[in-house]
Amino acid sequence: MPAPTAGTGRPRFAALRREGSFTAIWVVAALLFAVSPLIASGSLSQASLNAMLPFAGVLAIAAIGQTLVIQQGGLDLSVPGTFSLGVVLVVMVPGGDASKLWLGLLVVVAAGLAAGLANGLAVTRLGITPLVATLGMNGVLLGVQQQVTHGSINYTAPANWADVVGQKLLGVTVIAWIALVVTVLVAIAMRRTVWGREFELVGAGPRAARAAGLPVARHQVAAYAIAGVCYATAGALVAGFLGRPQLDAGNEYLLPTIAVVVLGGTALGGGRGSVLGTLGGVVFLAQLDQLLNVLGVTTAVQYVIQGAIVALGMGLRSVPWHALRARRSRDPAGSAPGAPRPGPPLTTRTSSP
Amino acid sequence: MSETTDRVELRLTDVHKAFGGVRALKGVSLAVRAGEVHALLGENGAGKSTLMAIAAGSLAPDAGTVEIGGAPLTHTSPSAAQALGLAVVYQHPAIADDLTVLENMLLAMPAGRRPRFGAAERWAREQLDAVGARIDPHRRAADLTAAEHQLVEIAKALALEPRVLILDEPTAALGAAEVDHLFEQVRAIRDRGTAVVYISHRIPEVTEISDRLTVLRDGEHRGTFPTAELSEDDILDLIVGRRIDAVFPDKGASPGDEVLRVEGLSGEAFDDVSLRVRAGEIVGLAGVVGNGQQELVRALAGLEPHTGAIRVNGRDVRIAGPVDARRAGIAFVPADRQREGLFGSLSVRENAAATSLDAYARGGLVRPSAERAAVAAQSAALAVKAPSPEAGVMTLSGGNQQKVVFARALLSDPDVLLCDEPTQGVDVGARVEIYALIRELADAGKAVVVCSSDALELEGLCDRVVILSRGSVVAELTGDEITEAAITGAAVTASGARRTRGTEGGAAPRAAAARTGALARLLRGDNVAVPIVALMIVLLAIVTTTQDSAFLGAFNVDNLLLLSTALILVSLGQLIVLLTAGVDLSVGPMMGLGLVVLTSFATDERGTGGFVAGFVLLLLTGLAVGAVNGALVRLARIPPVIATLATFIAIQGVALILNPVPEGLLAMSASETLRSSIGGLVPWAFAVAVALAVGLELALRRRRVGMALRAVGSSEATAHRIGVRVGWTVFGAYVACGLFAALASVMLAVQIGTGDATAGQAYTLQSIAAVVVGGASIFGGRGSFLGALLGALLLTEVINALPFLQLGNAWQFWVPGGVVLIAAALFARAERADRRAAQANTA
Repeated sequence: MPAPTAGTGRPRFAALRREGSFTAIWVVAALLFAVSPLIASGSLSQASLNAMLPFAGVLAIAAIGQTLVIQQGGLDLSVPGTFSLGVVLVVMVPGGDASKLWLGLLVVVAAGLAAGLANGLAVTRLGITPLVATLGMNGVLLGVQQQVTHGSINYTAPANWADVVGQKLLGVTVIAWIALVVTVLVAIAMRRTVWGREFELVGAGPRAARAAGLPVARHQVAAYAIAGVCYATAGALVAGFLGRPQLDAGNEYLLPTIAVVVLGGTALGGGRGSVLGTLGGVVFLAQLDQLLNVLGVTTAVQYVIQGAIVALGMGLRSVPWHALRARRSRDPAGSAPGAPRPGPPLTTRTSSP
Repeated sequence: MSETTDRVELRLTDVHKAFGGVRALKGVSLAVRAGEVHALLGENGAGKSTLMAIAAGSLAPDAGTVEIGGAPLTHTSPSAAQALGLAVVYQHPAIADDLTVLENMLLAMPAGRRPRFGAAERWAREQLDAVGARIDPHRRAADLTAAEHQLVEIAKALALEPRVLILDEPTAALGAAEVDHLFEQVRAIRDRGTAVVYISHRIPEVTEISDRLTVLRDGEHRGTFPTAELSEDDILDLIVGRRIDAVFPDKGASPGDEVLRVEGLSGEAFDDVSLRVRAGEIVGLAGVVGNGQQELVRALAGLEPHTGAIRVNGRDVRIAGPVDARRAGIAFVPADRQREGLFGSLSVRENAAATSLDAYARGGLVRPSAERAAVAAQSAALAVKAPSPEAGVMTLSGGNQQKVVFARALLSDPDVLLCDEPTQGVDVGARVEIYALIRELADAGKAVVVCSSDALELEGLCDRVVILSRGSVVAELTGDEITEAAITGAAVTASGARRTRGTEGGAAPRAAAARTGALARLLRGDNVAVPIVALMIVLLAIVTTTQDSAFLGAFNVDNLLLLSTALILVSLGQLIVLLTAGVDLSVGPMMGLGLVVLTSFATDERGTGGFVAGFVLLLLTGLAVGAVNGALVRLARIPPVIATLATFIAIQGVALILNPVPEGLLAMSASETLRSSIGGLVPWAFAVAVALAVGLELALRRRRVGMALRAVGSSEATAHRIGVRVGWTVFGAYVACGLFAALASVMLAVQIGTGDATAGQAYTLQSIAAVVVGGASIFGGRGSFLGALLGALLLTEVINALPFLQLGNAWQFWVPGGVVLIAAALFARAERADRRAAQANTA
């Protein structure tokens, strides 16, 4: 049977199928919305959505950064430090003076960029593993925040910033709109620009990208740098929304950013990623929290559920279904838990990395 | 041939083996007698290694039997073959780099042959002396040369006193003197009555060492002969002469201008190579696998460090990396298609267009129509068979995958095309198409370099063939001289030893490696951090005391040590996991949960019984949490960071469900007992933690379990080959970590007193910081429990000293964060230098 030659397929259809792993979470989220009113009548009310959306929007913006970093095979644990820095700077730099808001926002973006660049360079240039590099950087950033504030914020966010952030468009908070627009823009950039396409390639296969002559380190640094800006901006938005924010506001966001990326279908350790999938993860997680809140479930139980969902989501994705099926039939004896799978033993050549 | 008898020690009968569609062995039989050296010869891919892997029990034959010492090998397992008396010396030794020579040797011994620890050093020296290796058993394996690795591997094999010894290309890494010495040893082993199988490509060596020889060709037995009856030419005739199974395109007409010129190129694996390739010409790089030809072609692609001059189209180009190579118009088709050639998760289109996106873009935006058209045209030209351009590239057959890699190279319109093993893992039909394609490219004016281990392929395809042996060009064939026999002959009859280097081209990188090597050596000792951190602890104490003498007062010292105990205990657990190249983020919430469990039982009202019940329950909790982590990592195969992050969240939730607000008070009596100290200065609990650290350190160095832990972290694959039960080792590490976190929560209870579910959180980060500061490698395999102890002590001291030094709270974050970054950067640097050195050694 002659197989058709490339070029005769139906690209649009295939493209949709390819996005499958990222659309799954949207389907699950839609199901959750569908059953929410049945479980708890108030969980889809306007008030409920209004309470949920600002924080979902903030999480979505921070999670864009985490998506890009994870897509490059990294992991960013400096979310709390960078996020909190954004919170503090947008309040402290203007010092209550509304006319200096633009300066505050500029400093927020610059600080996020600097923190992200430092992470990226620590990983690519110094060769520190992402876990340790971002962990150490997080400490440094929290120290900076302490130094700037001496432990407390004496001002509230500038009034004009609180106004901007508090606005609604078509009845929906502007934070959610910002999150949506930025996510869509990043998604388009990833799929359509040369830069984005190369970024994806590097994430999908750093070794193949290197052999093909793509600038691997530059894209990896860029991921951390953009992520830094995302976290700091998210922090600034929270500060504007709450007016008098807490210093450790960022702590709440580290685990959720990672959880929604995992739920959204971006593979840990690098590979194809999708900020749209991540947004689906945000919507799902936010609605789940909201539903549980309405049901009167404590935060504590919500944590347990979150943990179970991450483990389950990861577990399902990391099971090599095809390989498992093939192995069952070939190797009924099985092996000790996790004995390394035997490769072709002596016939492969070792090539130096 | 002193003791040759007719007793057959290794008998393989009618062995068949196929990999996918490729039949590697087609009914091969082999009988090796006691007291003979039996050489096994054949070209690359003739089936030698496959046959020996089957004999050694690491591969299952599709049909046929294996007998060792007269007993049949009933199931496929290296340890079963070992138990029957077979030992293998692999070309790539199964040696864990992070362990010492002695530890590697101990770990490889089955229980019955393992000496007591006290006698181990003498035992190791005896074994090493027996093979004439003057190697200090306490040297780290990573520091040994490739030749020394080989000798250790041989010593390991002989310590098993095998009936059958298989040597797989043992001289690939050795210099002339070492080869002579090895041969003496092999003869001595033979004279003791051992059956020796000697696998080699090199005919001169075989005629020197072997008594009989067997030749394989294309997976078939070509005959077994007494070595003395054959000349080198006879042997060569037996080896070559494969049937032609592919049709080659006509060779090129007259080549054009010179496109690629290489002068005096030297790298880690090749020396002073010069090469010219003209437009329209296909130049082959040949040699026995591992003689530098692959590194040479990778150096041209910017993937290997090198010195020397490269010119493309008359312009000098500096190729410091693959990006430079691409800019210079060089495209590369790598041998390792799965990892380096393809983006496995992406589509055919995305793979093909990877390096030519700029061509389809306007203003930075890729025009999908232009991209699709270009990819479709190229795919059609190469007859890529794929259901659609959007199909995942891994769904294609090997040949079509390779065509996609070629399509990518062509779409970027290069001047020079480098192909490394272009038809590896490709079926015959696609192979013919790839040959035609390469020739078409040459005809279109490209300069093509093909590196291949298949001499027949080079004969059929190339206009010129350059043959390398041990890193140097030993022959160049053109026109009618290019025959499979001539190529193989030049490669296998060159017996010259590896050139001693350090004088010319290779000198500069060597010197640089040596310089960083000094720092690396200093930093890679397992206990390197111990004196440094100890010194920092003392210095900080001195500085702080000069500011405020109360810092070293008995009260504060006692308090500081007590505070540090919880962190010390949890850091010990963290290090166990880190040694396996994992990490446990859930220790912090686990401590919170432990605190909740303990304080709800060990209250004043419930007395001693309550404390015991709480303590037992606490340990069970730690055990359960560790088991869940271990199962998620090993069974569900979730990366440790995510697995323990998920449990981090979940455990935090469980602790908060039990105690939404802090409640329960640790019994006064328990608190006082745990606080009690020796002379009001050193708390008992601290002393116990120190004793635990010392005990773990001793176990890590002296017990098999400690060595296994480090071997797993060093390399799981190697540990498995050595015979370590990798899965259980890793699982056990997480369980142990859970238990230590549980112990730590007891000391947390002393500090906090009440059941605060969130009190443990900070310990996750602090425990990682403590072990990294203590010198542990985040990549696993290396670490010191004493280092972790001191790291934890230093971090606690810093935080304790801040008020005395009147430094702001910021320093509380800066010091641990900064110290971790600096320590990690230094260790990463050392590790890189190490890897470079290891590469230089194996080259």
